[in-house]
Amino acid sequence: MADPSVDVVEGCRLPVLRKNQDNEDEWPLAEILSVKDNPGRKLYYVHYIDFNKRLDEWVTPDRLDLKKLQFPKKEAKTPTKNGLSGSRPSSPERDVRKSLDLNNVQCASAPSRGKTLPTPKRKAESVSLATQVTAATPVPSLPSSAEASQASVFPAIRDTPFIKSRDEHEQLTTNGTPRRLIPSQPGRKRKNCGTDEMVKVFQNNNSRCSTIYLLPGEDSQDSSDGIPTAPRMTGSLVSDRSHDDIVTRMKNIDCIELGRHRLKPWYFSPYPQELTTLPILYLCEFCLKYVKSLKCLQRHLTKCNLRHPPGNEIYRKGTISFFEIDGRKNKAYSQNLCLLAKCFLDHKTLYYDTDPFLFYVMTEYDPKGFHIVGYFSKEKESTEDYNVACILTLPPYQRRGYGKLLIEFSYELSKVEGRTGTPEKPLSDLGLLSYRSYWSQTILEILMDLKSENGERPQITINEISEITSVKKEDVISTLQYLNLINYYKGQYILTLSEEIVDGHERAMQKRHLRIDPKCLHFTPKDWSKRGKW
Amino acid sequence: MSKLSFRARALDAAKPLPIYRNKDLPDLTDCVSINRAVPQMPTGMEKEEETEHHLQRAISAQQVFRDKKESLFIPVPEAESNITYYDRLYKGDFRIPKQLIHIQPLGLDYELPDYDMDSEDETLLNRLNRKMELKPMQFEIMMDRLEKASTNQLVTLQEAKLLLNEDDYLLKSVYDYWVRKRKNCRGPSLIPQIKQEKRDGSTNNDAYVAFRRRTEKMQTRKNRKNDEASYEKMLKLRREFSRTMSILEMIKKREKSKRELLHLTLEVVEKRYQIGDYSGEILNEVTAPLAEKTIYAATITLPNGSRHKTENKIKSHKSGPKHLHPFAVKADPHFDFVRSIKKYNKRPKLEMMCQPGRPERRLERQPIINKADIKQYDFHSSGEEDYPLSPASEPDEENDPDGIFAFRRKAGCSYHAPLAEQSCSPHWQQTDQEQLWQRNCLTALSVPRRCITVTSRRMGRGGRVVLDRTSSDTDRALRHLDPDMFYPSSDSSLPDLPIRTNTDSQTFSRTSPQCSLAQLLSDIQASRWKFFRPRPVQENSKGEEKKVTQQVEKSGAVPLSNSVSGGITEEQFNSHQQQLVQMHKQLKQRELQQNLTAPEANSYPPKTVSSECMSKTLDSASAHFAASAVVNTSNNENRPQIVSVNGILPNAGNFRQAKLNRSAQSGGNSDSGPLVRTSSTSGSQLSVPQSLPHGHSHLSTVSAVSPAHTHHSARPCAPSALKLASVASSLDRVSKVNPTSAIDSIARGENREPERLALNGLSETTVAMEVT
Repeated sequence: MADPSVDVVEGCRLPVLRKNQDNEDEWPLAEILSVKDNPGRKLYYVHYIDFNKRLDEWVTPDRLDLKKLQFPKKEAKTPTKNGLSGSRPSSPERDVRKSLDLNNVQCASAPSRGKTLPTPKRKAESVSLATQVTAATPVPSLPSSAEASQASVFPAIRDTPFIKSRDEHEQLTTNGTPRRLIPSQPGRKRKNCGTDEMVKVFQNNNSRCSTIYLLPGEDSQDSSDGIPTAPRMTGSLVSDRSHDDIVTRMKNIDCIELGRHRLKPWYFSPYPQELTTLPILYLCEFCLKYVKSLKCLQRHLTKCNLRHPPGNEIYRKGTISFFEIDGRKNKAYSQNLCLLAKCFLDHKTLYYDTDPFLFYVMTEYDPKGFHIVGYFSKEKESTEDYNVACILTLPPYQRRGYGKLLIEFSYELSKVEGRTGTPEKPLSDLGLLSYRSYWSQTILEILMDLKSENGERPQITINEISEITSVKKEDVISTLQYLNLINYYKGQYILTLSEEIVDGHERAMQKRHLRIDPKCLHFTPKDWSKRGKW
Repeated sequence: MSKLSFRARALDAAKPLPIYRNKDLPDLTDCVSINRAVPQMPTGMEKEEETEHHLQRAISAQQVFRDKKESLFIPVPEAESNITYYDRLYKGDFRIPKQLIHIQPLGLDYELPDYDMDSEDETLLNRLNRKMELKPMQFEIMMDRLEKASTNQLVTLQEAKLLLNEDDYLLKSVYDYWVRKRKNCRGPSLIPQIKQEKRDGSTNNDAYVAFRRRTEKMQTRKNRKNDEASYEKMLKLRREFSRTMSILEMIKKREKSKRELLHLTLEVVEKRYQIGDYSGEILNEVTAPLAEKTIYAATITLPNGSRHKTENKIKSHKSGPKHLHPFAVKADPHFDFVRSIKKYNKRPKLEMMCQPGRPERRLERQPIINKADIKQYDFHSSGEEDYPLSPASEPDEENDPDGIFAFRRKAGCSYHAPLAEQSCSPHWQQTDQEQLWQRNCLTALSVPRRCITVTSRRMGRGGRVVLDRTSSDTDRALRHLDPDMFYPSSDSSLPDLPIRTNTDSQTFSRTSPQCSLAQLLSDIQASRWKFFRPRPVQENSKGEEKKVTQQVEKSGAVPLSNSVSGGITEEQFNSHQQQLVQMHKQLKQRELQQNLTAPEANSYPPKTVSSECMSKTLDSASAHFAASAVVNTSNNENRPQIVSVNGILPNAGNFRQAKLNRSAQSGGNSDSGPLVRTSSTSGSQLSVPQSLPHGHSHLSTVSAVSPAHTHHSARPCAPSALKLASVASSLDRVSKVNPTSAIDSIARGENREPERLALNGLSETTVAMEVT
């Protein structure tokens, strides 16, 4: 099938053969991200569109369906990656930026319209802009929580297929715009925003790593951010796409050996570059040090006497333990842990040091020691009620209830702290499923346990649920909503528990063996604000 | 029910929601359509990922099947968990401790090499091991050091030799191997490391650079521009407050040491009163070796000092906290620390101008303030670079020969004077006669051209020279001396200065003049003893006398204040001291002989006295020695007795004292007689009276309290009364002195002569006392 005459370059799209879970052949559309010219044969790094990046892989030419090859458009090679942002709640500046990004994309794709392009004046409008562009995408644009009520006006379009031709996309953005939402006068915030400039910016970023979409002077509100390419300094998840370049979009480590496991990394991780060419990267199971060969690992193990994560054990029940590691005091381990975690977390950023974080490492004990199962990190001080920054169950332990255990533990910590918390956004697909599942089970547990008092119906406020569970109010609402529990009945909101839900919950709880026992938690929260810097 | 006939109220989180089971609500289906009124919550995912097939399938599967079906999950890349060599790799068992594991903050006891040997290294090691033994760890340490020592440039062989203390052959082979390996290595280091950020910002977008340092950016609210300014102001305010704190702290320290000094002085007086050291003799001898120390003690309470003390302190830590300077702040509203350093350089000079005579070293010899102490109030903002740290004690050590062994008073400790019994060192045995010669000198008048015995000179009011005559057993002989025989060349001339002679009440023991005279003269001529004659103004006298007078002249319009040691020069004094020691040795020998030959005999007062009263051994011994020094043979019946009326009078250049306490001075003259009497009565009733040497230089230490002393000692009084009085008087004086003190210090500075360092120190003690 490989035809050397056909020049398959980066940016091309074509169906690529892959096996699905049921080991059936599928030909999902994929984008070529990179071409490697190995002696003898070429290799193509493909991203299956509408599949998670973790499934991206190097494929041989014979898996490419060259008949349906689409060459990359001259402009805006991957607008989906560059222009679109998440639906997670974000601050106004970010919204503005997003909308600007969108505008850039639009300008780039249709430069002639640059001048007449309506500019967002208020946030709501920027949201609307986002909506119109993403109208191509099948998911409702979910704006920031502050705009929730306004945003709810725009109905979700769930079923629109995402892949559209360029023209279609353009058409959508031009014609599909609900004009009423767009102010006729240009926005105040983009005085300098001329077409030429925008085009120039775009041309400069003609590669896939279109990092800077900000135009000079437009970001007056956000001037304290300085260099726009640096991510924000709080949290550990990237808030912009500045690093969504070709390097970070591709996995760089083939295989990691950790203890008795061999892991296939899902995402890029900034291990030293000279190690990325190795077929296997060896990690010390306990200190997570990376070495290049088995021999080195052997030698390292003669020197490394760790048999557990180098922190204080704050929880132990059965074989499950939790260790708390201060990202400032134990930099080496924290960094090693982050590097490993980055292999499985797409949006995690390792741009900054680990100082403001605590790492809670869950381990399972066997006579060899305390083996890492998963971890979550947590900002020592979170301005946004985050009680988890990154959370990961290592692949060998996935789908066995450990993730929920980690989540439960994180909320137990929040309970001790006496505050509600929420995971830092964006969530990954697995994160969303895990959290939703945890929230659902936790809330349903409470609702089902409520007994009616003196003959009346049991009732509970959302705030009460939030207090009991330490789950942030918004998450409670979204869960109730997702479970379709909230109904409007006779002039008031009620919670209805369908049998389906009740049955499902009971079955799920039977399967949930691993639980956190709060009695085994020995944790005293520290007031980090009084400790100087983290 | 019409679907849109009403608008649902917003969901209220504080409002109780009744919980229904579906079976309880048969009519619920009607309501479902308005469910939409509840705002859609965001999923919290990146939008493009929300659309991913697997997620969507999983979500819809969940919604449809409610956990019934398991097969729907999001596929992930596979992981294997069957590493066969795992058990061989991770050896040993780890027993789970009963207690929760608690890790010590300082983990590893010793440094292990980060470098891990690879199989390539192993072959080298095997090769080398044929010739010598090289353990893998040793090899790793070598490689580790080489790696870590070289940055961009490789370590040279020479450096490597220094770095690794190894056998040459081994070193060479490992080094060569390392260089080769390093050159072939693709990475920047043989120890793989995460790429570091570069300062220039070129690595801002490098995906492999991780764990960048968070730049210290103020975390202020983004929308408020003025927040930064106010934050800076707050920082500045805090810095200034901390500076104030440290200044206050230093003031506190100063006041404490002032109080300590006062207490110590009182204690000294009390102790002296108890031992009956009215002449200050014991004190002198105790303090003489500590003269240096006294200077420093004095500086703590410099009168004009509250400000420039702090300055000095700061100056002594020049390299230290620059911004601590109170003036720097004032002078520098922009808070430019760099500039404030420049200002520093000026200030000390200015200060030097104010007090030219102040010994330089005093400036450095400030009480030690740890930089840490100062810093503790110091807000360390990120912007400031660190100062070049120098140990806090460094400036002191430079100038203090005792270094760390230097005596430092400890708060809360009382220090007693050495007991008299222990004082058998030669220094202690300077006898009264010795002191007589030390403090007084043979004097000749130029107008009635004759020698007037032994006198001590001091400066009276208005610059008049007052000669206090002391009687000695050699008086008669001395009176006949020709003044010109000492300085034949010098013509007789009238001293311009009016001379008032105080006649002494004398009960001086006479010695046979015929024995002594010749020796006396030769001694004087040999400059062993001093001789003074008022110098004729118009004449340039030669000889040793000249030196002194010139110095006096040099000191300017203000007449010489401290006439204590007469015209003694340093060499003279030294030779004199040597002689004293020699004489003392002789005496000791003789004593020994005498003790051996006639232990029971009364002929030797020291013996007698010491048997009578141990505590007075010294005095009697010295009295004896004094006698023997002058006359070689001691008189059996009479003891040398030096009673000085003026002994109490401070003479250490106290114009100021004169100024302030004229009455006291005059009173002192008349009162000191009674004092002596008091002492002799209240004392040990010994036949040996205390010798009160005339205006000895060392006496000035005591002179601080002497005005009060003289006033009150007129009446026989208890030490406590004395104490009170001195406190009162000293307190009294504070306000009076302060304004003038600055001027005084200048004047004093001008009067100062290098060889009278000790004296100056003492006179400063006086000043200090006045401030307290």
